[in-house]
Amino acid sequence: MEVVMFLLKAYLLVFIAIVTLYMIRHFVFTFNRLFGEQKLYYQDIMDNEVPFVTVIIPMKNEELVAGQILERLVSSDYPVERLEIIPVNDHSEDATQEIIEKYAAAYRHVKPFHRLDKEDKPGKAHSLNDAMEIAEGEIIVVFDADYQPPDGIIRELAIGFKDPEVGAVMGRVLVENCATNMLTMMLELERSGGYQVDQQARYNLDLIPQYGGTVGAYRKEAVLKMGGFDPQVLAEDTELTYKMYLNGWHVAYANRAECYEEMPENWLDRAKQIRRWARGHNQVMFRYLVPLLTSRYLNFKQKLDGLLLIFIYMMPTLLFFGILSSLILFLVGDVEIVAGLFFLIFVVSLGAFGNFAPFFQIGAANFIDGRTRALRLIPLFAFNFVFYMLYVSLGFWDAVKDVFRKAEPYWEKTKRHQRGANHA
Amino acid sequence: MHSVDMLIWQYAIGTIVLIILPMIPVIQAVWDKEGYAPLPVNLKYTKDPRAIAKQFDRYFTDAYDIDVLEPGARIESDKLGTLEVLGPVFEKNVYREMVYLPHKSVVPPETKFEREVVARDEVVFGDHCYARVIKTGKKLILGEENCIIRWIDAEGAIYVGKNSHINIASTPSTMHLERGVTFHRLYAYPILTSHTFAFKKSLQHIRDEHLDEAMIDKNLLYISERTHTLSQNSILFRSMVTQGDLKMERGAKVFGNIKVNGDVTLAEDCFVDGNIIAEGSITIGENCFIAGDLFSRESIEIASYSQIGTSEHTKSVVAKKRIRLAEHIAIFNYLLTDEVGEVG
Repeated sequence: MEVVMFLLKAYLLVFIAIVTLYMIRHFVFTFNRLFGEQKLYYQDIMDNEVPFVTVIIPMKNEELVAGQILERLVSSDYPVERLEIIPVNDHSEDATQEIIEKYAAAYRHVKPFHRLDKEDKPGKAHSLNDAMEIAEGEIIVVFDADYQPPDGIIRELAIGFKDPEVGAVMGRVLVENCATNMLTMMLELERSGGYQVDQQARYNLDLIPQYGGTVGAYRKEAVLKMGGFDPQVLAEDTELTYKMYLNGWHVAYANRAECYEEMPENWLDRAKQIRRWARGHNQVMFRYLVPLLTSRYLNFKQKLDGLLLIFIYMMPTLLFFGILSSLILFLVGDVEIVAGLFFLIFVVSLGAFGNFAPFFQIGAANFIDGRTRALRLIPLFAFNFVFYMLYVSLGFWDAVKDVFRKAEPYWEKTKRHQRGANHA
Repeated sequence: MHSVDMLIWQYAIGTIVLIILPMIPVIQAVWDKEGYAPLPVNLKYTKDPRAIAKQFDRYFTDAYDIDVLEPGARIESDKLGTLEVLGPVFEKNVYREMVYLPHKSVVPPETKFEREVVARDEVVFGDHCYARVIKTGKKLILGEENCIIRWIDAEGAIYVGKNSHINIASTPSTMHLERGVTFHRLYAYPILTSHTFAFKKSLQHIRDEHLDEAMIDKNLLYISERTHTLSQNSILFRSMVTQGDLKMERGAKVFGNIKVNGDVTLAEDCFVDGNIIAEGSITIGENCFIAGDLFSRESIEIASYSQIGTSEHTKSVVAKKRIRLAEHIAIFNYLLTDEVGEVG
């Protein structure tokens, strides 16, 4: 029994140390964003010698939003002779195909790609891999179907590849339907923390900015050499980030390449989404933890940041066990040290994990964005955090099961609402 | 009541208060939904170095009917205030209202315009003039030690005299900058320091002389040394990334892009058929030719008789900190610094 008590206490102490490390990391990010030197992205370069770009939009039953994104893309200011748009119809059963064909008939640079054969396996990774095979562009830009790319965004993303060391570029995502309800507004606040502070600070400090899978671009040759996207991994974006760095490439973050997206409008959809993200992210962790630590291309601070980034979707599960340990210690009456720590663990954890962006980071990000009134919702993140702890933990267990499972994982697409029509 | 029970009650009440208090602004926010609007993204935004001037043009033509503007007239606008239309004679030293010049004009030295100067025709400013904004429909000539606080834009060529400050300047024609001119952002076709400079280096000639497609290695060359030197007259046919500084000795040529995670220094007569991107500073020696962009997260210094870009393609010189241009250089077509740029 004494051994068990010792192990529980040791676990708690180690866990608190890890959480404190995360909090220091995010404090450094926030401080850097507010007072540090900001790294210039390449958007100020004006150069009319631009690379050939292929825009790929994976679509499965996207009739609500397909027309809207294609309309936005055909009005892009990128030279038409250096651009092709490939909407990938991935076994749609609604009017997506007709909408795509309508645009293909009107614009020569819209080249539809229909994946309708039963032999063509569904899924974003398969869609991207197949589309890359027919893509003529040296740079691939990816948008999800519910996004609203501004006219200049393809140029802003593509210009980053003037740097021969850049393998992928990530733009900034803004929640377009944030005014819908309290949940969407909270998601926008936390997105702001994630991009305006977290991503920009990681870029400033030459750490590991993350490629996010949409509103992003990458070098086709580099990705093909790395074997394309693995359909077994749900977070193909996180996987690409690590693959890039492990092969000597860098990811650039373009904070001013902004694009609207739709976020889930109810808690159930959000739960599914966060569970899927956690599952995919942890799949990447299982696969790339050792290569990350042994990479010859990364320096110590990049390895540390990569480690903390890859580990982040495991933290809620560890926290769950932390709380469980505290409760056991409390119930058996062995609380001399732990009683104080129990309180500390809660305060530190909540501070550090109001969905992976601490409260001060969300505050700073929205202050920079000039949106301070909505910050009144911040106390709600204390409850949001419990919600995330549950679903992220479930996602972690899904990933553990995936290790032993050979079949490709199935995931449910997030429901669309076509709020973008308001802006169009 | 037992003291332990009291303690529990106090804790319970304290907990409830601590939970309820932060929820007051939450309830208010959920109720009034203030600040919920999405952050504005201009879906029509497209990069244009003359965007400020074009925007101003739209405001100006909306506010005033310029077809009927004759010297001596004063016109009011709710948007832009009073517009004073001037003739060939400038009677005052200081003009406090916006000024419109319908005809070719010569502005006397030491004239001060506290607001915008809009001209339909060519304008010549004497020495020591001051203006907030100058927008001309034709050529613009600024004398020595002029100070333009915000920006200048001309449809024709721009000539800027010694020791003037122009902040932002744009033209679809040429821009000539004399010694001592300071700036923040320039766009012209091309930007020339000292108008005695009149030559164009031929990219095609150099390519024909050296370049054979089969010789180009598509793989990146990674160099992990602290300092790497490309020796005199050496030629590299691939793009490169260095983890430290890079030095190119006299006459060295690179057919490819260069990324330097340190400082990069080019001696005289070097040639790069690609972009130079540096985390540190970039120093370009005399008579160099860079056919691509220069981008530095520190500062850029370019020596005389060098050329950046070609007349066929718009290229940029972008630095986070200082840009220092010697006399007799040509830049096609864009130049920007977050701090200050200087000729001389």
